[in-house]
Amino acid sequence: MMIHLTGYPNFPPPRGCGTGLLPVCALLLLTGCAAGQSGFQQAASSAGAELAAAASTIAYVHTGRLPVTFARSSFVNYRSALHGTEEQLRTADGAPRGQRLDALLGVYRPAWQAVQRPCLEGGCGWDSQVRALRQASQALVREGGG
Amino acid sequence: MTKWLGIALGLLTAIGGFVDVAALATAAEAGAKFQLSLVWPFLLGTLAIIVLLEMAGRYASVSKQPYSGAIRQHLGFKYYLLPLGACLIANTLMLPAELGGMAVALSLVLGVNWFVLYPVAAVFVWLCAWFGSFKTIENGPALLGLVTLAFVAGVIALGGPRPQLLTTLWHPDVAGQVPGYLFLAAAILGAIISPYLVVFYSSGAREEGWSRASLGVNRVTAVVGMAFGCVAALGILTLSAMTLGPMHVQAGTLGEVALSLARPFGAPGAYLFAAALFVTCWGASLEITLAMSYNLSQGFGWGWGVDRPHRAAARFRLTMLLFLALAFCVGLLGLDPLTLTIYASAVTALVLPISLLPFLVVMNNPKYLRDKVNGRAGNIAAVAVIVLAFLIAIVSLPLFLVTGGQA
Repeated sequence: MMIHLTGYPNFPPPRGCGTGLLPVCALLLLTGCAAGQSGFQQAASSAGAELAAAASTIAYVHTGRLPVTFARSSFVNYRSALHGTEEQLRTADGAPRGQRLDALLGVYRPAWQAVQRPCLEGGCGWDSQVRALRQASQALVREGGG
Repeated sequence: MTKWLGIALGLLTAIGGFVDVAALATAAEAGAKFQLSLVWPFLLGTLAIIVLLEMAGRYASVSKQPYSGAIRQHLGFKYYLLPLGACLIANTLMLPAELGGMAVALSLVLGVNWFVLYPVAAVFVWLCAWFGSFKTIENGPALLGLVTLAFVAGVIALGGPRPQLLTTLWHPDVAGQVPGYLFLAAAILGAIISPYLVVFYSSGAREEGWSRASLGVNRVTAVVGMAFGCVAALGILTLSAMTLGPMHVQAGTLGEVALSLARPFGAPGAYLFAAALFVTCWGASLEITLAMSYNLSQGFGWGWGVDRPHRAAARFRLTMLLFLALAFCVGLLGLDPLTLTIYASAVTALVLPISLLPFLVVMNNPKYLRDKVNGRAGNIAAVAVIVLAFLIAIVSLPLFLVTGGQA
């Protein structure tokens, strides 16, 4: 396509930036779309990253590396970022069907519960929450192509 | 001795003032997602901002005229409205992001939702801009901003990047993420080459009464200060690549970046992050607010200056207040500050030619600069980087939107 454009004998002289940029944009848009991820992969990848952050936040709090206030505030943002993820994973383009989706949601649900009620203080089984979050994160990152 | 103290202060403020929420957010996200492969836009952007700030300081020192006034006088009122509009769009997106960054920093320490603290951040910025002297506004946040060097200390404390990570400098792994990679590159260039910095620096030089004797100080401040400032930004990127990337954390929210400093320094590291985030966003908020007031007041020929009595610069003060109110309202839409920052940076890159090319035209006019007009190398370097940033932005922004946002 580029060879055709540059070699075109009567290619009009540049009239403005927009004229010359259009074919370049179109070409890059096409190649960029081809090089991109499906909606499902994007949703899985970004949810996996948020769950990984949530797991590290809980682990850091209980190993004394992060103040509880930081974690409490961070979880407000994790909940906001993960809101509606289950629905997205079901309906996004490229979403798997049947057992594969069920298995993924099966590991995601306990992780989402941990995000909603994170164990940040006292002996409330924080390590099991971290395990659930990491397991779900790994599964989602894998589905996201990471 | 006083001269050297002035130079030292200028250097420290340039280093401390280099990082704002845009540089911090883009650096952290770039490191977490693409390891060290987005170091190049930081280097390129730093080169451009060095060239532009040196020009802005030289212009103020030699011409002794306000920046926007010259653009209006030289290119006419209609053309002055174009860069003004471009700056208004970019700054109206960036200021709420900076205010949001301050609110996030406070919320991390207090453990509450950042949105509750958003008005507190806006009122604090207004109080500082309204009652502070220019020296306080310029030097206070910038000196405190040296806390961003904690990221460099973190890289050193963890023993530096491993050889495997270093290879990503020249061998990026962007399979399936090309739109996100390009979009983030554009956002980094927009974050570093901020037109508001050029307006603020040039107007600041006028506030401080720079003359031809200040040209040496200007050159040293721009070159050395910005180069060392870039080191702080690269520290954020590298630490993020070393700590967040391996955990599959993508720095999707500002609070996640705290984990990178908590890894080497524990709880004090988290507090250092909150301090760095608050101070850098505070400084940038003040600079953006003032830059917008400078731009409008100088262009319309109103009295301007932070240190002038309020009555003598009433419209300058009113602009400051109205712009802050406008940006505050945009922030009330509730967009996540990090997301807003990344988009604002990409939009800034997109409007760079409109914002800065008129300035380059003025910089080549002997009427203002006499024997100190731009050299060919400076012109070529500035135009090349601005056009490159624009091209990357115009290509990546639609790509990013079409593919649903992968950065």
